Amino acid sequence: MKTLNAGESTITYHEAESLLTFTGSMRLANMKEYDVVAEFLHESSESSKDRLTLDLKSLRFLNSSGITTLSLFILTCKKQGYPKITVVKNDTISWQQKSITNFKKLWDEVEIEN
Amino acid sequence: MPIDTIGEFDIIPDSIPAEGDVFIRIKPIDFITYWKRCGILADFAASFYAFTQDHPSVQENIISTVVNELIENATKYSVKRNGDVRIHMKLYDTVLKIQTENFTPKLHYQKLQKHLMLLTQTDDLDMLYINTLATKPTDTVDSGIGLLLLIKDYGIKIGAQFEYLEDIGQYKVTIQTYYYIEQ
Repeated sequence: MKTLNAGESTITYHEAESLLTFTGSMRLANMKEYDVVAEFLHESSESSKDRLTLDLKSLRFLNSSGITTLSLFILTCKKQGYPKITVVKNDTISWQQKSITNFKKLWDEVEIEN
Repeated sequence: MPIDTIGEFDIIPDSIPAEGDVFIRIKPIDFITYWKRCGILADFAASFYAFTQDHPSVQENIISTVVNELIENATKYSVKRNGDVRIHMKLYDTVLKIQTENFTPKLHYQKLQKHLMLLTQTDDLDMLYINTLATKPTDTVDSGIGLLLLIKDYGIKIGAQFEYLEDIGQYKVTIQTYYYIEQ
């Protein structure tokens, strides 16, 4: 299990389950500050080449730089063809209910679960 | 220079009495020093308005998201750290008008003006979202989708006004957003 603390949030990678769980509130200042997150996602995807699940259920906030970081990660996976992405969302958190479906518009093989 | 207005600006003018008027003036340096303060202030605004609504936790998350994006933008485009960022919030029944003001140099003004023109004139916001991400330069620090997501996903109405202030050699940027509170 690997963990990244980013501002007020934590990302945990459970390699055996090909699962990334996000908790807290992720509102870093700009794309440069999200480089560590992008790198963590990239490293995780290298050891979960079939399918990777992003569990966002406990992520209370994600600002636009964070949404961009996840979006660019999905576009990278689409370009290289792996891993397939599953996003788990929580519709009681408004930003998730409103914005997570955008990920499927980037890559129609993204699966979104509640 | 004449005042340049874009989008849905002053659809509810200040001359109409609101149910309250919250005004916060802050220096960009306060946010730049501790970025977390953007979120703290956004959460305050959200709590302030959401608890009176039918679905407070839903509204709290939405209002905090909207205010946070506006504060982040106003701060990032304020090059003078001792300049003001001003935030006005007014509630008109079920419409929350959130206005930010900041001061920015010509380069940022031109960039923001072009961006807002695109946002307010496009017919296909989904395509703009996809294209913005697909063509994003790797070296930019801006997300490029903050205001776009507010319009596309939250149904926010947005307008902007730019005014050159000769005495300080900067542009005053006023962004107005109107959030129609979901009932």
